[in-house]
Amino acid sequence: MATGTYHCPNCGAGLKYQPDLQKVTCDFCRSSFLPAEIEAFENKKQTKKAADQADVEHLVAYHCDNCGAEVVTDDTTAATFCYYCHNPVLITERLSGVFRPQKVIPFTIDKDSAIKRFQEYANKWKFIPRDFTGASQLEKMTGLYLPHWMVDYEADIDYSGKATQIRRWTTGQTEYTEHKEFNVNRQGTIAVNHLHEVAIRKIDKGLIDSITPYDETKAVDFSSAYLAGFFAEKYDIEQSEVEEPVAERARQYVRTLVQDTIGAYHEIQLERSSIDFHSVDWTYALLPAWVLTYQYRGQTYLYAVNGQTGKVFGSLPVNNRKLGLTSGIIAAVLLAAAVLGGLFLW
Amino acid sequence: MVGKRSLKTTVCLVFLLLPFIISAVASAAPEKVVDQAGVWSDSERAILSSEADRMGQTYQMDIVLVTTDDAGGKTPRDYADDYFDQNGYGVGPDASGILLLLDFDNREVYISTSGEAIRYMTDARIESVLDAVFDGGMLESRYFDAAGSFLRETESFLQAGIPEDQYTETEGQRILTWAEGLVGLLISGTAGTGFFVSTRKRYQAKTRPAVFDFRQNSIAQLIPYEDNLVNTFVTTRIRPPVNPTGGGGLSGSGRSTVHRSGSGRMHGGGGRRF
Repeated sequence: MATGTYHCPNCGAGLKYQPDLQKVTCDFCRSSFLPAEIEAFENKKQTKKAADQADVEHLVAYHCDNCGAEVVTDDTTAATFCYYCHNPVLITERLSGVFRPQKVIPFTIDKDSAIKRFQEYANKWKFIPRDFTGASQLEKMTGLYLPHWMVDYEADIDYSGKATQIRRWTTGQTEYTEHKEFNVNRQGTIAVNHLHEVAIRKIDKGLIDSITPYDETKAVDFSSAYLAGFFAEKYDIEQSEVEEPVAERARQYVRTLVQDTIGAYHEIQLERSSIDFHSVDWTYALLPAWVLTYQYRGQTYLYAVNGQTGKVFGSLPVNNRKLGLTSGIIAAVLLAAAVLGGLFLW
Repeated sequence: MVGKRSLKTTVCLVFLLLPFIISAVASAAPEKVVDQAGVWSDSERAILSSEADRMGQTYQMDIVLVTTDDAGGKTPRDYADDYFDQNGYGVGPDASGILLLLDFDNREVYISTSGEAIRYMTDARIESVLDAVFDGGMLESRYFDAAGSFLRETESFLQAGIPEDQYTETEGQRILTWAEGLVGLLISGTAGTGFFVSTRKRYQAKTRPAVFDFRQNSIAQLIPYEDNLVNTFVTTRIRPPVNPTGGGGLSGSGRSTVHRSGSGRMHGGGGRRF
């Protein structure tokens, strides 16, 4: 099966995932379901259909399950909408096999709150173009699941050395310095879980990194029901490409965690400080973000809102006329103040 | 009838002209040394007076020495300026002169300058004369020596003439030069441009490296540990004493600061408390 739309078990209309309810709902008959319930319902239906769908798998063009219209997609799109009937469409072959995500952090910020967060962010800036926070512009806000490589590291720790505490006091002209030396040993394992790295080139990594952190402990096992009503992409950066930088970050975190346990000494001299990664567990995960583009004077501005925390990031367009006018006023006021101050206060 | 009226007119005339008559008499022979506080003996006063007269004639200005133990609620500056103005001191059309006031009421020494003397006695020179007065006896209550130091130091400056870089500046009022205007224009222009550029830069969001709450996402299982104290020792050293540092200000050496006195005339001057 090449495409999929989750249909309401009650009435057959298209289903959408609702971040505020954490459920899949039907706009038509107002039913709501847990993602797991829908998954079970769909599996039953699919085993029936499996035989007659087998030969459709090689198709390059996709068809909407709901109305049959052709769905044109990018080569990484995994979830989108039908242009004609506006039902959510999942490109299931891009969500299966090696492309099947194991984890997903579901959206908790819905479109309205994403728009509100973005308005709060944008309205803090005074020199933005007037239509920037207009309703028609903000309507383009799109919910998008971004592919990430997520990894759990476990490391053996063996630290040993000498730490010194220094206390200083003065009596009269004499300054006393007391050195207390301690033996320090730390052995055991430290696990750093849910470390993740962007797995798609299409969207600027800096933009996505800038809306971190996510609360990774809220990640759940993947079900494609979470994607209903959102866009999703499949990874185009292989796991092997991110292994090295992620390992370096993990090493850094583990080192910091060990330092934390050693704590408040003035000097630390380590004789042994080994960190040995011995078990590493990779998963493919989708993280939620709302994205918005804005065209201004031939330049495209791209914004991202963290779909879980609501953190906003993106460069803002500057209305040069507005800013120029204010700069001019500042210069004029300053000149007037300097002249008056020079004449009367100096 | 006629005689009475003319008598009345004469009396009126005399009363009307009285201030002028008095001032004419006063200006005819204004006393150069006025010791109202009584700190100098008669002979000392005579010496100071003759010295002040000699200097005044040499440099075409009035050198006046005044002491008081009741300033009548005036500040030393006002008292000195008013004393100079109201008693008709000053030589020439611009009433050139220097007045030294030892004010025992406000406990301040004040030097008031007027006319051409303003140009001789720049702010820096007045400070220097005050130094001489204080070092030369004021601090030890040797008031005759203090006055002598004043005369000596003042004469050395009068001898040296008006400094080449002398300029007169009215207190609290200035005229901007072209250079100053240009500097103001430059500063405000830079500030305006700076605001423009920095604002544009601020709107350009800087991407940050990924933030990851590794403390929340990590589990540490360490063998129970305890840091054992293995060694303690104490070192000592003698702290060098800290040298107190003195502060000092700079002032333009060629500047004579002037202000307007109660009578509307311009005066230079400077004082110091004792």
